[in-house]
Amino acid sequence: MSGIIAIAAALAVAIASIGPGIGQGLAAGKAMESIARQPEAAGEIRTALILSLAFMEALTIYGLLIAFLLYGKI
Amino acid sequence: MFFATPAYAAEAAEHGAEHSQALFSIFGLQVSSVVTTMWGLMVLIILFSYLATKRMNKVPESRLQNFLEFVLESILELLTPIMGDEKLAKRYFPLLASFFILILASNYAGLLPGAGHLPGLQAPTSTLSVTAGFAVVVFFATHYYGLKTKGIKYFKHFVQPFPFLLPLNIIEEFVRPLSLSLRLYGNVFGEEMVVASLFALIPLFLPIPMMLLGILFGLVQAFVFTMLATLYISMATAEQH
Amino acid sequence: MNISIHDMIWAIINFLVLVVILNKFLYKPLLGMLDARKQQIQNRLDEADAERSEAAKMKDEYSRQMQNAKEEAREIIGKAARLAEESKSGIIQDAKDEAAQIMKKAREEIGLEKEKAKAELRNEVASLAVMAAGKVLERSLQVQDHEKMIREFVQKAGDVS
Repeated sequence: MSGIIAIAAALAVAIASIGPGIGQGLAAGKAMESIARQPEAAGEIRTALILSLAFMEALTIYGLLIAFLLYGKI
Repeated sequence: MFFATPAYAAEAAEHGAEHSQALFSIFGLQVSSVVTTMWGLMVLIILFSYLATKRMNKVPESRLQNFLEFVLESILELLTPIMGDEKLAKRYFPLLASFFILILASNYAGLLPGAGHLPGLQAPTSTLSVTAGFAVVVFFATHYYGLKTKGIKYFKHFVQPFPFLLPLNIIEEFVRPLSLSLRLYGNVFGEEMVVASLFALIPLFLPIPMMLLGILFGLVQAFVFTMLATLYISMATAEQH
Repeated sequence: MNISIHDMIWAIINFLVLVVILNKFLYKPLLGMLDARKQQIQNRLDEADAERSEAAKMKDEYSRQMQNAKEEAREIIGKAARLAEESKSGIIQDAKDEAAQIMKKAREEIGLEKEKAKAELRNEVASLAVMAAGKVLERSLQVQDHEKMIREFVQKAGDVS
């Protein structure tokens, strides 16, 4: 049973990091394109980028917390 | 933590995830090591700001005053575009700047040697209780300022854009502090766990890159928390919605 | 992932206390000072701008006055030069006229003198010739008969000379 829980914890964090990973990559790429196109707006773009990255990051963090929860039950 | 020895990881997980042991209690409120750490940080912050502002000069002579001016002006510059107006940003500045400073200090307290192991020293933001407390403050501050600036019209935004979205809007209001606290807690705690695991694996040089990343993440997380709190307050107090 | 309600309440209390204390010790004095400094710098800059524009105006004024003075001086010099030129040519003209007049008068006088001398000479020559002829001819010639002829001859000789 504990083996299954361990696998579940691993899967939780692994799967939860796939989507945000892709999303953050896309967002960062677009932000860099925008900065390259409009270097004078770099500050605003960076703020918006960090905010959106934080929202995506939250999804992974939820997976990580689930992993911690499961880990405590081993 | 996935490659650490189970015994150590379990202990570390227990340290962070479970609330830390109560050291003593005041007025029936138990004081744990996160609270004492917070007090220590507060004393340091207040001491620095007192020293910096005691002999303040229009021509900055002390480095401390220069540094604090830089910090406060940077925070103000971050808040202004979200609030849309420097006057508005200054109105909510005390609350938001305090969030930034306290969370930053709390995040960096976790990087101190012995943090989480010595009694009375544990990064406050690495427990869900503290981050939840901060998120509760943001939650109430948002609605308080919204009600204060807009009056009873503030409740209109719950039925916008469509009345049948009322439950969703209410859920959103409660999800915000949840995600706010979980994000901060998860990031700081996860980072600490990774450092602890690396330390358990090879204690000498391996945790250093992760700790350097921790410096960056601590700043980013304090920044994000402050930004989101600012965004919520700005959305609640904006005239047109 | 239990939440300790004690920690949470402490966190809220600590945070609010920190807000109040920092507001008193850090934000209000420092932001007020920053505002005051900004205001002061702005005032100084405004003053400097005003002074600079004032100075530029004064400089313009001065340079315009200078220009005026220069032009006036040039005008005065030009006028004086013209006046001098005019008077010079007038004086020269006058002198020339006077000289011409003197010349003319002198010439006339000379002519007159010449005429007078000629007439005198003619009379003298005529009487001398009559005298000489009388002396030479004495008896053979009647004075009254030939005086007319001799006078004519002298007249002709005077014309030729």
